[in-house]
Amino acid sequence: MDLLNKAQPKQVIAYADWLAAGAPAVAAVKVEADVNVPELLPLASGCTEIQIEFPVFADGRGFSIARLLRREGYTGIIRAVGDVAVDRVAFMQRVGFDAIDLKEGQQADLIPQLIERVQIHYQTSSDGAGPIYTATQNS
Amino acid sequence: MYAYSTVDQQLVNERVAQFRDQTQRFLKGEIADDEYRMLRLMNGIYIQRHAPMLRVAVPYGQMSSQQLRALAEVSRTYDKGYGHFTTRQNIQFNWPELARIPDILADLAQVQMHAIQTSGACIRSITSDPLAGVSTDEIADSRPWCEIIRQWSSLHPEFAYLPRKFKIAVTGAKADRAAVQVHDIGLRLVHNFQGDLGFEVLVGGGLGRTPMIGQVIREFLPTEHLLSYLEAILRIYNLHGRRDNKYKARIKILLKSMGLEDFTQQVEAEWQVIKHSDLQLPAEEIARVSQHFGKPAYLSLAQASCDKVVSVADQEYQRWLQHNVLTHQQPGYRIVMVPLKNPMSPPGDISHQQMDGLADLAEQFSFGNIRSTHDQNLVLAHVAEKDLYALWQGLTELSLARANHGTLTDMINCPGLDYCSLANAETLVLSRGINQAFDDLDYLYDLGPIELKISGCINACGHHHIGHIGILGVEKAGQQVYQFTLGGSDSEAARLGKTLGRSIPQDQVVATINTLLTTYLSLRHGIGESFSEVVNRLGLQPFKEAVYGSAKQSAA
Repeated sequence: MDLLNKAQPKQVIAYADWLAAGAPAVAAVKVEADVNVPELLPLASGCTEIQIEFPVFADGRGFSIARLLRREGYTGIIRAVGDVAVDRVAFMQRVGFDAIDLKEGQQADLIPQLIERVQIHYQTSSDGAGPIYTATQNS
Repeated sequence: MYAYSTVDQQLVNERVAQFRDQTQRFLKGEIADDEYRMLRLMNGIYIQRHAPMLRVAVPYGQMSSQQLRALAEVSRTYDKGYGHFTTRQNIQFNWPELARIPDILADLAQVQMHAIQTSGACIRSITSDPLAGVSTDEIADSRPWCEIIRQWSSLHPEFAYLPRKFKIAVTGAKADRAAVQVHDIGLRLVHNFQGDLGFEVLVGGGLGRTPMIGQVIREFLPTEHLLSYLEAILRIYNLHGRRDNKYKARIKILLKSMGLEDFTQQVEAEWQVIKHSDLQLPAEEIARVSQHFGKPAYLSLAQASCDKVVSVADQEYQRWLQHNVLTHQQPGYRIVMVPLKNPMSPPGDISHQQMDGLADLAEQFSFGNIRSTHDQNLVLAHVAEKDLYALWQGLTELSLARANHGTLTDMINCPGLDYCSLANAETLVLSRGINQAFDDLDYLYDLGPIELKISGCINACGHHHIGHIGILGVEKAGQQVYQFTLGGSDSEAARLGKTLGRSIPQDQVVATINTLLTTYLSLRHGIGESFSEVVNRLGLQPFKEAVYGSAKQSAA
């Protein structure tokens, strides 16, 4: 489980500043939940890491942003930042996050068991497992 | 009905363990209140006025006798001996103790039931036509598609934190018994000109604060593309639905602000990318799920029918036969409506004895199948004609044979201020009063079909906007008063009712209903013209005048 141990980038540039600079190759770009996704997708390959901000835990836009980045073929790090708690890490991992910055006061040691707890996934996502009906087990 | 595979069972078991762990950590103070609130809501638990409330999913309204008995047992062991069927075909328990809810869910998992996504800002449990597979106006059985959607939407990692709740309803019949036009997504099974089966897709319907009728965004969606199309809609909504104001967060508001054309274009563009992905349903999967919904082992017409039983000369029985028993696809069989509209208890309530008794009757007379409806009744869907009289006797003993199906007192009612922490006004006092005032069945039959729907607040759980007579409870200067709407409909062409006039005090609600009814009787062209037809023909003016006197006093 290296979700928590991905090295922090040396520098993080805000998406708007990055765009203004002409979207150069950089270590990390931070996008807000209301980022213009169609605009981001073709540019994303220029950065090693994309950080997606969760302004409040109930705001689920970041899940779709990560999913679309992976579908577009983005292979860099996608990091969840902001209001991020252990009870959402399993879903975050499935949609394509591979780095997590937990907010304060979280019990990071619970993460492996929280991810393990629900092993059945009906749907496909960025985890590439395919929907349940493509597996032979569902009979 | 659908029987879980080992995979389905494992998922539900894992979900129980997950929720048990979340609840234990919350009770130890390890999860903050606001966060646990979100987690418990996704598993159907509200904190109500008096106690927690647990909403258990009855997926698309289908239950077995074994499941109904398990619900009875839950109500005895953990609650006060009754349950409440809701307008989304689910059942609620009003008095469980939070720490014991994981045990309730573990018990229910043993009979293939759960509370997954019966609440919260996620894709809610799927609703459908309670007469699927038996109605005479059916195009195709909606249940396999509901089950496919249930599985796809359960614990979907991308759509668990939507802007707001998201409700999907499916119908496979011509008449709309699933209120698909007032759901976030409504799906109607249709045939295209080539005779292929597909879905008409409606988006953006909903009641609540800003009631709207859903709009068609695709006239024909081939069935194998069902999930990719739903995923495209949900993705556009998740990214673009408003998050700054919960009253403007439903997809109907997004649709309105983007405009139908722009919204549809975005959905279609996303769909083009994913339609040929592994979301495209394989024929084997459609067949695997469909085989669970085959016809039961019906008797032949000669064995099932019995003229003598149908003609038993008992007035009560004949009334029941005429009003609560419907025609069936299968010759020799009937559909029996079981109204949960006991005058002494809230609409939708059922006691544990009634649940057990009905489970037995269903086993004996209806292949162990019970359905719940969006107007808070139950259905025994496969009753042989020869068994009707015996069934009626059994239902009578359980006080479940009141022959008021489709009449004024077969009303929809949210629990209101007596239970709900969102409510502004009581509703149960109204249903009690209405039941007392209109207890003459012959009068009710003479009034014909009238849909009365009552909500205790603007969230509209009682669907008042689509009632022929809708009543909305509001609080004004400390008083509970009630706004009337007339002319709503949830039939094939859904319509929102129009406001009658200024609000009515609680103690005048029954008298006002009476005025509306006598006005209708005086205006109708014979018994063939229903209440809603008279309202359509003449508008609200004669009713306004009857209720408020001269026109100038009736300003809202």
